Amino acid sequence: MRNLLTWISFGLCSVAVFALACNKQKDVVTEPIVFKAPDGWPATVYDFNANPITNAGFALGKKLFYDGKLSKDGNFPCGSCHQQFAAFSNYDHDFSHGFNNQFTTRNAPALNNLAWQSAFHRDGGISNLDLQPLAPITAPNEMAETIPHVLAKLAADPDYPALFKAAFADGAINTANMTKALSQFMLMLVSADAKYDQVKAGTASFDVNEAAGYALFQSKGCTNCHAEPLFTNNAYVNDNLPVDPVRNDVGRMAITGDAADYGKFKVPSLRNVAFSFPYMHDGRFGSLSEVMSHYAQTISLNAGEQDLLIAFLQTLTDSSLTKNPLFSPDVDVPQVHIHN
Amino acid sequence: MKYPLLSVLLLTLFAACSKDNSREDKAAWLEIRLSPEMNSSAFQANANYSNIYGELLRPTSFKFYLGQFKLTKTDGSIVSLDQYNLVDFNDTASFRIRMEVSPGQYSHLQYQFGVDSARNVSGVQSGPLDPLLGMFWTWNSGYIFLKLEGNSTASNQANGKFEYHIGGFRSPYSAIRTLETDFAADESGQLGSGQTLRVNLSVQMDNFFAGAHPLRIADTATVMTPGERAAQIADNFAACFSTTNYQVQ
Repeated sequence: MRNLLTWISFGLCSVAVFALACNKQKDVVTEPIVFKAPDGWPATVYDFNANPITNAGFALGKKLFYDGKLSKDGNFPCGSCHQQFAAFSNYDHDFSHGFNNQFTTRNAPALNNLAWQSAFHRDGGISNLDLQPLAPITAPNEMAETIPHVLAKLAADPDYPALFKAAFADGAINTANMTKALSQFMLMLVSADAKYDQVKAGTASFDVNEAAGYALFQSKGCTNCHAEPLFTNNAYVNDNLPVDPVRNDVGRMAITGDAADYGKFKVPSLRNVAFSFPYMHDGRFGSLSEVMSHYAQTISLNAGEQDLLIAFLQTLTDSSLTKNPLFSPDVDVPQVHIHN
Repeated sequence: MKYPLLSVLLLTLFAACSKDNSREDKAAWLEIRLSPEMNSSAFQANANYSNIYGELLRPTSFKFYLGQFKLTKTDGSIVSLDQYNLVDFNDTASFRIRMEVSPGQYSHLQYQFGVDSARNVSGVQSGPLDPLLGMFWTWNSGYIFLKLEGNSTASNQANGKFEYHIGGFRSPYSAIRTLETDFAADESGQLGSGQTLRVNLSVQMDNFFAGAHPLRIADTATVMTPGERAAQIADNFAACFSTTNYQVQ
């Protein structure tokens, strides 16, 4: 009898262990996802207190980021124009494709280090990261949806209600929680481990071309706008690019209504710039060489110097961002299981 | 409300606790009643009106934000109600805004058309300010303080459409306007506990077109961005408001 009981309990335990093993995703205790500002960087702008990052919130944000449900016809998730392998820009597209064979009106920017940015869009029209997703979701030429309809689709989905419950205390599927989750995913897209960063940390060294390029980058005044370590000063600058008559994009002036802002666009970060071609607000330059030729009109830069600068810019490529499985649409986010 | 029972319990508890407190601490109410009108009749959807320029118009949508009610007592203390209300002429219940205040002798009411700059830039708000209500510019972060849409034979747009989306919180073209009502120095502003101070506000939409900055539909059928024109129309809209009367009940 005693033996039988032992066997039964052993059997039950095995089933339990087996069940645990099958349910690995849910029960394995993993490291929490933590936002860490690199040492020596400026203070972040985003209000993390109002939206603390959790594994569940990040996981929800990642699912939303890659979910076509956020677009009218299901074809245009955030991730369609912000592709990880292209450093979260749109690979080889001057303009991106949106709903019903339409083009966007500006080049999709590479996403990184968003916690340090106080304004979004090429014209800085969006004043908070949480507000950013509302623009592409509702733009008729992008995702072409309405917020109430997106929320209704999420509420009717078999998975999302539980994910919202796990991510937020009130569990509500509402605008604020949806955008906060998206922010949690986007905030984690930190790029701070490029070769440049490793050189700064003393764990790698530039080759002779990269070192010469870096010296030029500083001496030619590139850092006036592309200030280290973020490689942007987040200012708005008129880059002397002729205004395209079809688009007639007045840039920052559309937001401020101030004629002094005509043709000004936000200085983009140069991090992962080798991956984020084509360049400028309208993607008019297909290569870094073309960008260099443009700047050579106002800055003294001979062909050799241009090549050296490009060699340096390539050290800003960060595979910890572009190849990190944590940000990949195909990899599940580990969940932290809290035992009460 | 997620926990109605809990709220009732808490309120009961609160009421019980405050039972012995002085009369001043008990609840009273401020109630705002709005009466949008044009051509001396109620301003409502799909009715016909004309402005002073003789332009015929038929509104289909009319919504605006009103909030930040502040009551000043005769002793100088201020009761601030940090809330916003979306007034919609297709939802007449929104014409009545009822808020709990403390009893006292009131001398002055201040309120605001539009949404303060902090709430325009500090992330996604909820309730009446939820961007899903469509009163938000997604490409140029900020609330649309007022939407007036409809059709007019004077409009040069397709289907005779006119569309005024008024907002903007940035200097120099802020469309936020502060409005005020003074209460007489006699006892009429004396609000006892359990009583309601009802303020009847008339919103004369004739002034929307005929205000300090003339708005002819034929000249300007659409205003869709913050800026000088929006700020001018905000002036006109502020001039639409007047206090018909007020009473304590």
